[in-house]
Amino acid sequence: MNGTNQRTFPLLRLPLTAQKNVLRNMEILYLFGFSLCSRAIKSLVKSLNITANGIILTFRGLCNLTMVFKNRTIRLIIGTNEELQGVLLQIEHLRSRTGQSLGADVVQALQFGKERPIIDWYLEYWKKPIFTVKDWLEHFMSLCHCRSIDCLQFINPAYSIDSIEENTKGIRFNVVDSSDVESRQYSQEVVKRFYHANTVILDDNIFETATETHGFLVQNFMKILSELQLGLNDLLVTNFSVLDCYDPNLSEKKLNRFLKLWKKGSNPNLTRLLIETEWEPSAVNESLILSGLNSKIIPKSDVKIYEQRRALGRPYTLKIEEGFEIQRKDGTRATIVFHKLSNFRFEFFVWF
Amino acid sequence: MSVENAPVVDVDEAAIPVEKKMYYRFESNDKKEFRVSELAIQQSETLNRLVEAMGYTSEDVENKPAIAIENIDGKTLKLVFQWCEHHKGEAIPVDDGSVPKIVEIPEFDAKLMDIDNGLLFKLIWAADYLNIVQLLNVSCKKVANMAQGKTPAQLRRVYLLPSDEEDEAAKRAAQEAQDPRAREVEEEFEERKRQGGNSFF
Repeated sequence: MNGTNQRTFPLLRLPLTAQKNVLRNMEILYLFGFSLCSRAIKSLVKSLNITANGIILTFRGLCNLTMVFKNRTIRLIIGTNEELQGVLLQIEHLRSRTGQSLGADVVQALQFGKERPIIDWYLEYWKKPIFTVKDWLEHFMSLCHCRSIDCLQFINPAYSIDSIEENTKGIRFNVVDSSDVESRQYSQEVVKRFYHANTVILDDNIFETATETHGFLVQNFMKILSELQLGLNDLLVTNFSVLDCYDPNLSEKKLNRFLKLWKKGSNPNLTRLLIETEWEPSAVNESLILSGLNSKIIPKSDVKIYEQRRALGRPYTLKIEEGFEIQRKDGTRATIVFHKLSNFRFEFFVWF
Repeated sequence: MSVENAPVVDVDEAAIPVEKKMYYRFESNDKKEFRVSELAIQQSETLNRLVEAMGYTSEDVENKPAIAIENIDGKTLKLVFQWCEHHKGEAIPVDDGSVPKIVEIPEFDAKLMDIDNGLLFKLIWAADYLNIVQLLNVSCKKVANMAQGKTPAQLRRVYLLPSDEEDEAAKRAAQEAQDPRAREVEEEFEERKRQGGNSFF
């Protein structure tokens, strides 16, 4: 009989090394599908020790799990059959008002190559009638031995925050990104519910009162990337290590005051601060900012490298070639950099 | 089968060095004999170690009985040695642990493996037993390609994978079929373990 006409192959009767070799020759997408055949097969796939370089969970309408591997990216869209076909939009609407655990019996799986064209996909959905979103997440994460997700992203989700919290219980998130949520109340809930994350990304100041803003800033986030409009008082209460923010009310005098307080010991965890302003660069009085700080001009030969971890991939590095150095009373040094682009940006690096 | 009548697999004469080539004789479990070059044998870690340990001279090869490979039949062994002769002298790939593995099936290998799945199954067993890394890679790649575009339900049918229920039933059946005396001993052992005893005897 010609091999191409054969329909079946007794895979599990091969020696274990050969079974694993067959599996390792499969595209990751098919391995994921394979893992759904039975518990024994799932264990076999797990034994391959596949590692994902990054995982992003996005609630963009439905639940999307993106897993990044070397040269491959898998996207899994989790929902019900009707939802995936985009027919019963009403169900999404109902879900946004309820706190139920999210039944999701099908998954649409896509695989992308390095340059992003879809290189493989399943025309038919993967089905597990009794599965919920939580079950799918646990299944796919366990295949790669992952206990945490790099980024939890909200882009106008169809699900209520209660449902999402319920279905992601026990999963750790490194970054929570709520910058694309239109509802301020929803964003507030995101920050409140997912306070364990290291980094929070917000697009705007979602808090209505100064007390609420302060309450948020004193949390132990490592990093906040946002267009939060912060005053000097806000800056001084922060507990984070990295902050990108925007301050329309900043003045040279306020910046100078902040730097003087840093020298005295405020913001001990801060490693990087970037403040965007609306100032015309030529109109900025730099000497006023540096007044009384005992700063030194850093020679161009003295290049420093700042390394910042990202939600996904390798940390990015910043080369700091010029600026002004100041020193805190405990000996910690920091570099002040003025960026004169279309607007004035103030950047501050602390060297531990 | 006599030495003279043994099937000699494809040999590239131009590639033969000037000095006398060393050959070894192997016999399958159905008594088919094969003469295989020393260089081709290097593709198999198992056979390479075996012939090294035996330390045969050319005279030994001719005078002593062929080396028996008892769990591989002649049809499969012929494919194995054809593959080894074709790929002799090639570097043995080192596994970098990547998933998916980067394995291309060359035209020669594709033709060699244009066989029914039963023989392909035996070929993989043989490649694994004889530790022929690249033959194992290409034959497993061929089996992996059967998964393309298949849903979990289709995969279960193609690869004859039992469902969870079938696995459970097989486990129960195996337990029931167990020798009653062995089961009794096992139960006694479990009981003693529960009681905190250190020694069974």
